[in-house]
Amino acid sequence: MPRNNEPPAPAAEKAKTRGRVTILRKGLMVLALPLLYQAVFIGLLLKRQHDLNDAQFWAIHTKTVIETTDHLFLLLVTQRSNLRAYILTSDPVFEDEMNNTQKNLRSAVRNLRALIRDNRSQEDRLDHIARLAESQLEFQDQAISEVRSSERDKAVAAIKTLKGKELMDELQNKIESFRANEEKLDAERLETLRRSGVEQTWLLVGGMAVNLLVGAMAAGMFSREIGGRILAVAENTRRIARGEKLPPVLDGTDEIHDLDAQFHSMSDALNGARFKERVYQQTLERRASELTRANRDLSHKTQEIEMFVYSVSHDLRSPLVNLQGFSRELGTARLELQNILAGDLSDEARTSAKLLIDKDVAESIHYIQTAVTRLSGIIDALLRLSRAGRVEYRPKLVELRPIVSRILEAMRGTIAERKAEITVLKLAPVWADPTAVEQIFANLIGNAVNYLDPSRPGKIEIGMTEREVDDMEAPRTYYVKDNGLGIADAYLPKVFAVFQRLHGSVVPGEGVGLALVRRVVERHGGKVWVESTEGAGSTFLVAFPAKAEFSPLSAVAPPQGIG
Amino acid sequence: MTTTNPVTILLAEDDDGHANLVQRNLERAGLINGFLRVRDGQELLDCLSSRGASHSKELDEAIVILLDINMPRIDGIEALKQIKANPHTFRIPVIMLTTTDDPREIDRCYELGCNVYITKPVEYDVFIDAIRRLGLFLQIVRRPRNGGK
Repeated sequence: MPRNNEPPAPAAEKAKTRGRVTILRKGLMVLALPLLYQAVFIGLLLKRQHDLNDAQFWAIHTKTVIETTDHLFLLLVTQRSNLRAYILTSDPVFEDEMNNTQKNLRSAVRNLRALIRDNRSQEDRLDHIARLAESQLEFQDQAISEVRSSERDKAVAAIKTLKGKELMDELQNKIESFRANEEKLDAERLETLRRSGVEQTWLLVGGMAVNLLVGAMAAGMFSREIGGRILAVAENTRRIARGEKLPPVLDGTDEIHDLDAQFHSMSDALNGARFKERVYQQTLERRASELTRANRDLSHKTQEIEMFVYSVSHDLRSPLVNLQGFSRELGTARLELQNILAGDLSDEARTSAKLLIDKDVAESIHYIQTAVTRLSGIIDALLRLSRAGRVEYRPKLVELRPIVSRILEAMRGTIAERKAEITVLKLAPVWADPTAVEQIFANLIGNAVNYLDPSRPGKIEIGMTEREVDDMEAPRTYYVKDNGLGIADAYLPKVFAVFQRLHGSVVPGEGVGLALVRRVVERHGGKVWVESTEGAGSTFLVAFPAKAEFSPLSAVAPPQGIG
Repeated sequence: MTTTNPVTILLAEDDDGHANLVQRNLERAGLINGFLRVRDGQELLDCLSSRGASHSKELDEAIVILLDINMPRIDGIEALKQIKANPHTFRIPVIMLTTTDDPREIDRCYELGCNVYITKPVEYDVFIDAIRRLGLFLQIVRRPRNGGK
C-alpha cells in the first residue's frame, strides 16, 4: 500500500497539533483525575468537619443554657432563703446579700436570654420566668422595706399568705419545663453529633476506597492509552525485522499513532526495496548467465578462428613451397641448358637438353601451375566463406523438391559416371534463403556423390526425419544418406572444419564445402551434423528452425501457413 | 660377420610437388636407390605391413621413413603413433617433414618418438639444404645386419 509520506505544511501541522490528544494531554488527564477526586474529597471532608464542629458547638451551648438555668434557680432559692434570714434577724448583712443576688439574678436572666435568642418557644418561657422572677423580687422588696420600717409582722404575714411560695412553686415549675425542653434539645444534638462522627468515619473509609478505585482507573487508562500502544508499536518493529505483514495503523491522533504510521511507511519502503532487490538479483543472474553463454560462444569462436588461421596458413604455405621449389628447379634447368648450349651441340648434349626440357622443365611448369591454381582455389574458397558470413539472406518459405531436382540435373554427368541411384523422398518446405538452401544441398549431395565407394553401386537417399535436437523445438530435419566411403571416427569432429580433406586423393577440392555449409546453416539458426561408419556410408543431417519466428533471419515478415 | 645394405627411403607425402622436390634433391645428394613414395598414412601403414612388418614379425630391410603431417585419411601424427606403438616397427627411424613449425606440434612429434623433425620452409634454399644434408646423413646410416634373426 503506498502511503503519503509528504510532511504536512507547517500551518496544517500546527492546526493538527491543536486538536490532537497528545501524550502530554493524556498524561495530564491521567494525573488530573485522582487529583480532582482528591480535591472534591477534601472539600467534602472539610464540610463534614465544619458540621461536626457546629454540632459540638450547639451541644456545648445547650449544656451552658442548662447550667445557667440551674444557676438562675439556685439564685432564686438563695434569695428566698436570704429574705427569710433577714426577716428573722434583720441583719443588714442579708440585705446586702439579697441586693447582690438580685443583681446576679438579673444578669443571669440576661445571659440566658442572650443564649436562647435562636429559640422562640424557649424565649417565651424565659419571658414568663422573668416576669415571675420580677414579681417575686417585688414581693421580696415589699418584705424588705416592711422589715426596715420595723413592720416585721406585716412581712411575716405576707409570707404567711404563701404568696411567695406560690410564686416560687410556679417559678420552679416553669424553670423545670424550660430545663426539660433544653435537655431534650441537648439529647437531640448529642444524637446528631454521634451520627456525624459515624458518617465521617464512613466517609473516610469510602473515600479511601474510591481513591484506590480512581488510582486503578488512572493506571488502567495509562496502560491502555500509552503503555499498550507503545507495546503494539514495539511489536510492529519486531514484525518489520522479521519481514512480516503489519496490522493496520493504530488509531488515534497522538505521537504513538504518528510513530506507528512512520513505522508502517518504513516497512512499505523496506518491502519495496526488498522487491526491487529481488528483481535486480534476478536480472543480474539472467545477465550473468547470458554473459557466461556469450563468453563460452566467444571462446568457442575464437578457438575456431585460431584453428582456421592455422589451417589457412598451413594450406597457403604448401603450394608456396612448390612455387619456390619448382621455380628454383626451372632456374637450375636453365643453368644446365646454358652449359649444354655453351659447348658443342653433340647428339649426346642434344639428348640431355631435350630430356631437361621435356622432363625437368615441363614438370616444374606443371607443378608451378598446379600450385598457382591451388592458391587461387584456396583464396576463392576463403572469399566464399567470408561471403557466407556477410551475405544478406532473404528468407521465405522454400519448396525443396525443385531445388534438389536442379542440383541433380547439374550433376547428371557425375552421377551417371558413378552409376549412383538417387532416391528423393517427401520434403516439407523450409523457411530459409533459397540460394543458401541450394548451396547447402548442392554441397551435401555433391559430397555424397563424390565420395561413393567405387567398389559397389552407389545409393543416395534424400529425405526428412523427426529427431530431437538440442536447443531446438520440433526442428525441420533433412538428411542426405549415402553408402559411400564413410568417415573414420577420429575424423568425425574435423569434418566441418576448414581445409580438412579426408579423401584428398579422390576428388579435387579445397576442403571448404562443409565449413561453408555449417556457416550457412548456423546463420539460419539451424544445425548440421554427420553420422557415419567408415566403409559403410555417411548420413549428413541438417535441422532448420520449424517456425519463422525462431529463425535469426527475421528481416521479412513470416508468411501464412508456416509451422 | 656384419654386412650393410643401402637404406630404403619411404616418403609419405600427399602433395605431388613436395614429393617430387624431395625426390629430386635426394637424388642430387646421391641417394638414387630405394626411394618409395606413398600418399597418406594409411598407405604407409599398408606398405609396411605388405613388406612384412606385423605385430609378430620384424622388417628385414633397412628403412627410413620421411613423414608429412597434414595428410588425408590417416595423418602423419597418427601414423607415427601407430609405427611407434608396434614393437616390430618402432625401431624404424622416422623423420617428420612438414610445413608446420608450430612448436607444440614439434614437441608432440618428439613425445611420440620421432627421431628428427624438419620443417619444409618456404625459403627454398633452406629446404634444399635440409634435404641434401638429410641425404648425406642417410648415406652413412647403414643398419647393421645381424647374422641371425
